Amino acid sequence: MDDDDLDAFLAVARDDRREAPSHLLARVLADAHDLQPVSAPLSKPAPKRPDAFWFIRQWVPAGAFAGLATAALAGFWLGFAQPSALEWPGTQAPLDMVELIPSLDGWLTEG
Amino acid sequence: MPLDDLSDLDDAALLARYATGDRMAARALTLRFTPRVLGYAARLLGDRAEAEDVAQEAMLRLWRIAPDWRSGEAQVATWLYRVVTNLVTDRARMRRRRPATSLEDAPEIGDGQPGAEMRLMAADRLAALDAALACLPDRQRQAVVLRHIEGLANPEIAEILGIGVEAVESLTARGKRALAAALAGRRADLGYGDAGGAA
Repeated sequence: MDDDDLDAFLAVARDDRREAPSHLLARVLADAHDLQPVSAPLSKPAPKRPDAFWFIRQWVPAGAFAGLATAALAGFWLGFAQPSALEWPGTQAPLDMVELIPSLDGWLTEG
Repeated sequence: MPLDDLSDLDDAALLARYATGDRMAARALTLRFTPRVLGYAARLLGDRAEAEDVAQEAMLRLWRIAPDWRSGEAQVATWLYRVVTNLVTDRARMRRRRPATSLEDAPEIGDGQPGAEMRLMAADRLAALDAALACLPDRQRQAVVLRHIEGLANPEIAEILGIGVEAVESLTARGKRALAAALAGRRADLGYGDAGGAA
């Protein structure tokens, strides 16, 4: 048998693309699905680390924060506002100046 | 992604999609490689049922390695051929393989219609070739099948068999000579003209 004849033999085998039987394909596909990595599920957001006010928030109701903020604003305003003269009832008359020590000259004179 | 679109992807890209959980990629890879793996295993083993087991085992190893597959280091097909070769070699070591058929077992050509006759002749040639392949030493058979039936290049075969390219050339040349010798006596009854005219 020469090379041409042998090549013809081999060509027949090359063209003989045997189909895989359906039962084998099903087995292979079942293996594939069994071993396939699962897509990563959507992960829950990581819990936040507790901050400095975490403990306060746990135990102090939110309304208390509102009162605290109001007090802080009031204190801020009192600190910056110009003070005005107080006028008490019955004090509208000018105050008399009284010299309790009229002069020190007499005491300082040597004699 | 639909299966038709996946057919445009190369092997490594398809395997990467499989590793990310794409079930259509699993289907595409199964359809793409199982027939090739089965055909190669069947040529080496000469036993269809055993070849199916080897094909399933080779594909199983592909699924396992998919998450760790490093693209660019090897071709998926080459890697699969190597796995099949090793599996077949392991089976041959466990039990020394006897040819499932001999040249004498190949069916004779029957009479019938021209179309039927052509089909029968093709079947006869395949049976005779399988029987002749079964007579070759393991490495020669692997090299001949990979080169002349699976159509791989010599460097690729060298990678699969773990030998040099020159060794592949030597194996295929000796394998072809042995095949020619084994088939020489059946030249006429397999439709290659007068036996007396054979070279």
